[in-house]
Amino acid sequence: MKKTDFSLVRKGILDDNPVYSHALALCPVLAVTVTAINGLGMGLATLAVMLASCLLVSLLRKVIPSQVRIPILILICASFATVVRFALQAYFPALDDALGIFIALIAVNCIIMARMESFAMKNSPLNTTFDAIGMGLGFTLALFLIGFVRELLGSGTILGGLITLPEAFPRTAVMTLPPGGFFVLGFLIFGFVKFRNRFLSGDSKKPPVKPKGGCASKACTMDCGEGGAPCNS
Amino acid sequence: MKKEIIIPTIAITLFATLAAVLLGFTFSVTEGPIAERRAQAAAAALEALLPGSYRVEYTNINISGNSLTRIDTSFDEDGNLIGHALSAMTSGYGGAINMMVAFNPQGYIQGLQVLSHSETPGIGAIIAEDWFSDAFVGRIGILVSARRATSPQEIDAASGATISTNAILRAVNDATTYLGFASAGAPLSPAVPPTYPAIADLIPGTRFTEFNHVNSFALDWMVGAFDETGNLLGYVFFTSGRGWHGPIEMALVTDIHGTIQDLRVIHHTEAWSFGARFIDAPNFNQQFVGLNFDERVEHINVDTVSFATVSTDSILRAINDAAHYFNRNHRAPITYVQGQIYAILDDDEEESDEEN
Repeated sequence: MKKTDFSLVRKGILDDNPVYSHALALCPVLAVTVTAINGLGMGLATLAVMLASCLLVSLLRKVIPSQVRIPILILICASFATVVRFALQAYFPALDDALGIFIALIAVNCIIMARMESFAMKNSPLNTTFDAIGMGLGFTLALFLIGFVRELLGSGTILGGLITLPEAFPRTAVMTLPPGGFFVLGFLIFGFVKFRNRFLSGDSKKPPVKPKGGCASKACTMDCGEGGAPCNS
Repeated sequence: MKKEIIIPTIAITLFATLAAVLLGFTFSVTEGPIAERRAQAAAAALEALLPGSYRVEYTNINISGNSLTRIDTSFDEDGNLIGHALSAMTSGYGGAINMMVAFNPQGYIQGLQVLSHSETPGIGAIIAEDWFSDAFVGRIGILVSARRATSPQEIDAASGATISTNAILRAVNDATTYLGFASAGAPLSPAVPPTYPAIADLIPGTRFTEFNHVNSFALDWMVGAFDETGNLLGYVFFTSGRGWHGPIEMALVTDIHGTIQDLRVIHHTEAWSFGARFIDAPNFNQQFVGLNFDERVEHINVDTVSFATVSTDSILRAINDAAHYFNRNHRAPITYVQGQIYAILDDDEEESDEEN
């Protein structure tokens, strides 16, 4: 790996998008994406926790004893999640009301655990920052898009009443419920994979989905693309 | 071997300490704004439900089995009672529902607002929508849910959201009962103890009675007594204060202005040589006759009997609880109209809504 690798940002958003490519963290993805703003808020909150946690882990990766790394990683992540929760309660109470328990559950978000464990523990702070930003933005984008579609079809509004569609536009109640989240997620994954395979694999030097040298040899399961085992966290 | 244990231990301790410092610092920074936001949200709800509030008095409520958490009593600039807003935390389908329900001085529901809930979107969440809360406005008494509401005591249940609807109804009925405005509706669930003397024995000429289950401190029931044409004759307050040996149950009879006419001990278990000597004395009740609810009854007003301080205190506390409740809720004269009680506030008497 190069000294600094900007492509990590792109990788997190497109090639290795945690939601669309790996179907991770489905619980918050389905629960909070009733509106686009909620999805955006949840994504940015997760991004903040991920960035802070991964950066700290990367800085301290030589100090953290490997036997107790998991409790320490959870401790770090949970602390930052609590800080974010306090900040939201104090300065964005409406968002805190909407996201509820899922802000606290960022502490055990599998994407953050996976990035801390598999990437931040082994890479420089700079690359870790790019990776965390990429993954965080990928997560945010995924949530925003799901929320946008569900809000449009379920409530007939765009961006929280910025534009309200006329009454004639049918509102589908199931879109505001978790099953609707699954429907939208399924179609978005389909569209995302089509888009990625058609437009992105062409201009990158090597297709991102092709595992090289077997997955077991790779440090990060997420880098393995389709052929690799999913991150189990 | 030792190193493998000591170094991780130190590392975890160190990280945990740092995390605690970080969280403590964040908490101290955000504590103020968070409390401020919550207070703002509650104040905004109160202002929306009881517009024109100038001065608000509140009391925290903590009765087991009751969803109420707090009562705000609101007055306008001239000290006139605007209404009561009761905060409740009730449990719906998805978790706690925080809500506020406001009553006007006559006991009619003035508004209802759900402050926070986690009900299912599209199903239970409709409890937070305006059409649902608007259905409560103007109601009085104990309310029940119905498939198609026809009577004034029935509320249309939100379809598919029985649990959410019932959660709201429970809180509203708790509030109605707490305020003692339950009289117009269905009979109250807790039965009047059979040991209570007939109201007609206490207030001669009584034909109709309205029982209000109050359960506020030592005060259990407040009863309005009416003659056959519906004129209010007086009130009876049934209290149960804690004496030295056990509860002291009393019936306190007042006229319509809250002046004590009689005091009867229904039941007590005080020691015969101490408290009982005081309570069972022939002229015991005469000490209280003529006292008014306007002023708090202190030790100086009543001769405290030697060695019966606990019994005396218990009786005084019961009287003061009744006075407190009377002054808060039923200061104004009550008229009896077609089976319903309306407390009508007289302009001249409104300032006495202030607590003594």
